[in-house]
Amino acid sequence: MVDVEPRLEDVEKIRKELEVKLGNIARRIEYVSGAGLIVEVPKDSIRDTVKVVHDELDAYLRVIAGVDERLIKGVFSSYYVFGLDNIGLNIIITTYMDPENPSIYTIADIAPSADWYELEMYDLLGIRVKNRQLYRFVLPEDWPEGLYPLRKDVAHNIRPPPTPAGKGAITGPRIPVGPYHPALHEPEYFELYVEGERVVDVRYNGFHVHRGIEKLGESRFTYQQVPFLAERICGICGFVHSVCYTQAVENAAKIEVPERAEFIRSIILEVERLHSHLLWVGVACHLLGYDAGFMHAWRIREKTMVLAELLTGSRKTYGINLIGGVRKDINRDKIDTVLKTIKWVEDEFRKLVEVITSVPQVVKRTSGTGILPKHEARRYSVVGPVARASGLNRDVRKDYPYAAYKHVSFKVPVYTEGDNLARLLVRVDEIFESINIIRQLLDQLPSGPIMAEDIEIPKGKIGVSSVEAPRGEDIHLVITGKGRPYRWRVRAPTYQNIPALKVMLKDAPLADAPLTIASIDPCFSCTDRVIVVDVSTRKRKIISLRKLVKLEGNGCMI
Amino acid sequence: MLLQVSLIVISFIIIVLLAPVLDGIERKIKAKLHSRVGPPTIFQSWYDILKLFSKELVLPEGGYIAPILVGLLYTLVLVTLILMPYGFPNPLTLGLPDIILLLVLIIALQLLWSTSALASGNPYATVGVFREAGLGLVNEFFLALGLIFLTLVTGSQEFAGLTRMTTPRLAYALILLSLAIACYVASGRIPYDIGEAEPELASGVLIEFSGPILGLALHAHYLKRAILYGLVANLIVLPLYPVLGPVFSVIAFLAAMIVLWIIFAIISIVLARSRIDLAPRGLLKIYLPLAIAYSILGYIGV
Repeated sequence: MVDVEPRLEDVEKIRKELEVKLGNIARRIEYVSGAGLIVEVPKDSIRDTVKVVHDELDAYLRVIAGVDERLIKGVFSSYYVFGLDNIGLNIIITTYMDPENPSIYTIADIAPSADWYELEMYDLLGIRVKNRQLYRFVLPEDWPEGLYPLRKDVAHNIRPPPTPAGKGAITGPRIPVGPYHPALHEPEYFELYVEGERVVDVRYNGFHVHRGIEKLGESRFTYQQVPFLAERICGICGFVHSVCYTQAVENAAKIEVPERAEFIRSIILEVERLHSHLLWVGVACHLLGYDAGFMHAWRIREKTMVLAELLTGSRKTYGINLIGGVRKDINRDKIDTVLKTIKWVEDEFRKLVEVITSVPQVVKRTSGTGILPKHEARRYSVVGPVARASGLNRDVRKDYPYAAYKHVSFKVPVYTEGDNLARLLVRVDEIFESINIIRQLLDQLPSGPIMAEDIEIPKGKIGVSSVEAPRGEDIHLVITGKGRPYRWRVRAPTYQNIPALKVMLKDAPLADAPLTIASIDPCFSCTDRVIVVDVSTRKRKIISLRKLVKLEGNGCMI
Repeated sequence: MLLQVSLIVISFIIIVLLAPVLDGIERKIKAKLHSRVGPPTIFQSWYDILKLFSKELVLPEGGYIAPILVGLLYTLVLVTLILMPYGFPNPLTLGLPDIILLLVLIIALQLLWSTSALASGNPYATVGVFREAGLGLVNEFFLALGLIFLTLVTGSQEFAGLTRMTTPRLAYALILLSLAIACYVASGRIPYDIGEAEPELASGVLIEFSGPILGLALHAHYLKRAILYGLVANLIVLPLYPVLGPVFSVIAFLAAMIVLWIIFAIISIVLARSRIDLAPRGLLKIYLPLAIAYSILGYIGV
């Protein structure tokens, strides 16, 4: 079954509103079920269109996907997916570019979260984004110029020899946090520039572990193999990615998934959330120097892994998902054990939360630190607990219902403080909500098959699906091809949340920086999924926050 | 005199050997409270130090002076240890004002500890040292103030003065409390281990040390804790010296030190780390009322 569609009268209202506001700019405004309202505009009108959608309709940017469609339509194209979360509708602005010299105007000054997407389009597809500074972002510095790995004429297994990178030195005192650092469990690099103990500047250098997953999915794997590849995008929220991918294909191909399979997917997704949030609570305690909380959170977390093993056969990376359904059923005996286990988890975690929130340093160091005000949260289109802690009631499970979430009732915890404590409390509340959701789903688990019978995937269809990962919304965009996706765009929640760290870290004490970075629950392997190269970067460019803010003020983002 | 010197030498050897064992016991207790198994034996900290000594000497880039400073630190720790009281006044101080002597030695230890870290030039270590210095501004001031008031209350600049106290005094109890807190903070325990804060500074002051230098620094660190807790243990046991006599005083002193170590360990397990701007302010809120109280009580002779 495809995701729950928005109400047709809502779609019609927005369509008419767009027709009026865009006038004759739009070449086509059409609702495509399983994707959203497609608005096709000439590339030179992209800024005007985005202004209408982002500023006037109050939609938030969900993902931008550049596509090399030269083999199909003879052009490069770009899909800007905006979300109207109050009615659960995607507005997909589509534009086509010249096949020889693709270029488009920036929208990063209108929607700041477009910054990374534009850099990525330039890096991986060679689409020049005009009126902004472009620099090497995803690919390493020694990757040859003019070789764009996501173009269809570039083989997936290409290994170009490194080109010499220029030498450049950084001056001034700085505190490196990464690529290897106790506060980061994955290789990533934050350079914090400090005056005394105050952070005055932050530089993020990511994408150290690119694995070329999108390219592999588009050129090497088949439709039914990709779910297993997608699950390996992340070691913690892998199932989210596999569900998101399968749903995107199911939406594109209009495949009816049996209801029982949808329930099983939702149950496993919530078990995964329990695991992830408990892991995070432990990490947060450790960063606060409260190792007792760390160890006890992980003691409870262990049970959720046992639970996952019971339901899927694996403690993590479950591998039970396929397009059309799931591979493993849940029987009566398992249900009883699951109910007992989640009761234990609930009781133990409740006790732990009481203890953690009574430690004076935990409360002092989390409240009022790493603040992300609501307007900044909206501007950066942040997602998940980060958004909910800053007063945005944004949860894909409610806004764009998928799988079996339409059958359960649950609360979306929203706090307005926007600080580290609020993000902690959102996750704590969500743990109890997840337990509640699992109980409801097990209670209502319907009988029937767990796999669709006829699976046919036509070519050239577009499907968009989103899943509420523990870190926020995960979104996959698929354009179907022959035997495998023609384009598979993955956008993990961390990708959307990291840019907002600039706001959270600025002028904060150094001691709070690791906690604030961790408070978005960053998942770097999700974010770094683009290409494999041995990094030996010597030349680096410093982009200061001040410069960034200044340039933003001038209507131009770097 | 001979008995006392012999007891000092034996206790000195016991403490040198015991300090890493106490750390091992602390690790076991910590593991128990964390619901972990912890290290295989209580001698794990000794095994760690011995293993570090078996490794090659790697000097931090540009920090060639670091091993010399750590060596000096270790020597100073041993000197302080041998000159401190052991439940009875130490005759090796040769009648010097040994309360002031111990204060000077402890402050010198803290300074040398920071300086040896600063020698590496590592930015994490630098931030760590500045944090320790910031915290030390408050903590060492009140450590010194407590000891100076101790000399005023007992009327002597020697620990021998404590043995002559005949009646229990409230001012003395408050000074003892203030000094116990100061020693807890100076021993680098959570929430006041901000100079070594692992998540943000990757062990801060210790970051550039490895192999034998780290082994030496760690042993010095454990011994420094023994000295600080020993100071508090002395303040408890010394007034009882006339009753207990030298042998039982030493036993009581060692027992008090071990108990204090374990109590402090448990306190540090149930708390989280503070922050450089919060910690000194928080400490001031504790120290100031205490200092005012013991100075007034001391003045009126209660």
